[in-house]
Amino acid sequence: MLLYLTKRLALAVIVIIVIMAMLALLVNLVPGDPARIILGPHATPQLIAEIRRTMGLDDPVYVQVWNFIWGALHGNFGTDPFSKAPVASELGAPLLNTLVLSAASLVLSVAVGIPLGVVAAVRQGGIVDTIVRGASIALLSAPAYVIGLLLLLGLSVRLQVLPALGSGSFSDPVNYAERLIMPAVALSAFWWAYLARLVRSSMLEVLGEAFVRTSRAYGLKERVIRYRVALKNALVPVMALTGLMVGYILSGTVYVEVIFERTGLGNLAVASIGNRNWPVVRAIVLIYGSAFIIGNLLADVAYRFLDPRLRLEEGADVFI
Amino acid sequence: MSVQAIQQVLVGEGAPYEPRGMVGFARDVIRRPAGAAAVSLIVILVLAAIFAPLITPYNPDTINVANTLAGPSLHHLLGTDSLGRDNLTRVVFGTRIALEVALPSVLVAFVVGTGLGLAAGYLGGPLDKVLVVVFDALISFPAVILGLALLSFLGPSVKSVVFVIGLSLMPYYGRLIRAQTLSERKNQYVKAQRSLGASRGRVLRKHILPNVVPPLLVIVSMDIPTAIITEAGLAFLGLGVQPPTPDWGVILDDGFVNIGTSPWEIIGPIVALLIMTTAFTVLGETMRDVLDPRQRLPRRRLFGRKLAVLDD
Repeated sequence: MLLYLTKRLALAVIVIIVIMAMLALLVNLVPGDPARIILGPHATPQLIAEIRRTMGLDDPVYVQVWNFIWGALHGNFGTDPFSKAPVASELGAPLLNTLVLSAASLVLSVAVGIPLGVVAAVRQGGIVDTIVRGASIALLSAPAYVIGLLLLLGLSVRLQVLPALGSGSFSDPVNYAERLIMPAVALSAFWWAYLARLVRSSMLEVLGEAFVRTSRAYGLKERVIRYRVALKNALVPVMALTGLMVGYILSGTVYVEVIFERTGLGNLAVASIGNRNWPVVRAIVLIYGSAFIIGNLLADVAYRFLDPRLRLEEGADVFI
Repeated sequence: MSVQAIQQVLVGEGAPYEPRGMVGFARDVIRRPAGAAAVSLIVILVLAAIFAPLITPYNPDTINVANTLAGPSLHHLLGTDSLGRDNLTRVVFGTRIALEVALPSVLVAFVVGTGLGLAAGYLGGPLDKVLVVVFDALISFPAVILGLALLSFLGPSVKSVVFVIGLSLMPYYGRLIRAQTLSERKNQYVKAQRSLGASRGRVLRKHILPNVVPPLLVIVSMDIPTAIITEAGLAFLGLGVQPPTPDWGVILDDGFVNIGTSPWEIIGPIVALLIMTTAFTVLGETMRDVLDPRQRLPRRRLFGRKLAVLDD
């Protein structure tokens, strides 16, 4: 286990450093002078020289890469060429909003999806089961932005039951939570369908296994068998999915923040691309990538912790 | 005694791979009701894309300022957009861009990923280590984030969108092929071939490749919806295909801006998107069942890749 942890952690660190290097190199791949593109055709040479200096474009490439990695490791993402403020200081509030939205969506996905699957498995052929098996297909093929747009159309524009735009502020928690509902639902609806079907089929599989029959023969109560024996085993494949969920939800935040006009990293990135604010885009992309890597790392480790069978391989598949 | 015959003796009757031919495979897929439905839907959509100018009553770019944001009527079944263009016509034309981007990007991902995965798995060594890190670095960026990173530099065009989507799907193929190659390499028949004097290249081409590719067809079919969704999503954000191109994402964006006055514009692309993605997903699931009717693909391996592959 320790060997696996070390290898896995080392790989994650290497990958993050490679990503940083790639991001630092990107701006050099722009055809033409990035500073001129930022400022437009009428910029004065002095202004261009100044922007080139603040973006470090006059340094040799390896110095740029090193400076970016070293700076990023110290929470310094360079200077915003437009506002002249440090990029890091502009990311605080959006980062917090995006993290809250992602966490809420993750919790909502699991809190709805798993119970749905359990009910569908336990009451096979019942209403919930029918819904899970039938209606979920629509949710499975709908991307987050489609669900977001439909929610916006239905609940805000037509019925006007939920506030549509903006993310609210923490000083008004009720309003903040209200504004979180639609975006979080848009990001988790897919997982309700997916997790429900997954939990249903893996629970049915576990319920058919010999050790469940043995438990029954020993006289364990049906409730104990279902929820303590079967559910516990059926949740292992859900754990394996956590990494994918993190990826889906993180990338979904970009769409959802734009649709519901929320303050957040995704929305800021899209706006920054519009005015070619590359230092900001670069920092946000790095944050998304790192969040994905850390989320996957935690999921992998937790998965191994929960499923002792995997530990037997002891780091053998760290590169798989 | 031919090489094949010797192999038969050494490895035994149950030779691991029996080429069934693409025609036979296709016939097996179409024989199933789900497969037939999916294939006919896809054929209809492809025909609609090809013959879009013939089956639509309007030009997708003709502006009519006198009739903007109209609701559905006999003349405009799905209404008109903010510039008075016919929504239905634009949705039908959107099928073209969706396929024009999705098919090449999945193909690029498939070819490049398979090549790199084979190289990493079969040759091993430092190349393997480097490729694994590269795959992992790319996988850390969901397609949209990769789009954020690259499209601001590449500029939004169909070519850059294909590149971005291909690049985001590629490492999944690479990883999968690499893992499968590693496990195939250990098999008796590979050792038998090598000991009979077959070169590495021959083993790779003749034996490992045909064994690792069929399961990938399933994933290819299921990646087409992913590519379509990403393409429309990027266009919706304004990062992909640009207006006035009739693209589902572009239409969605226009509809989103005008959602308060005219809800009809977003309905068309949403329905088209759902039909198209569901058709390819069902096709993928049917191919999976045909390829491996009893045990289906191992679960863990599928988790390495995208979703929608569920045993029921």
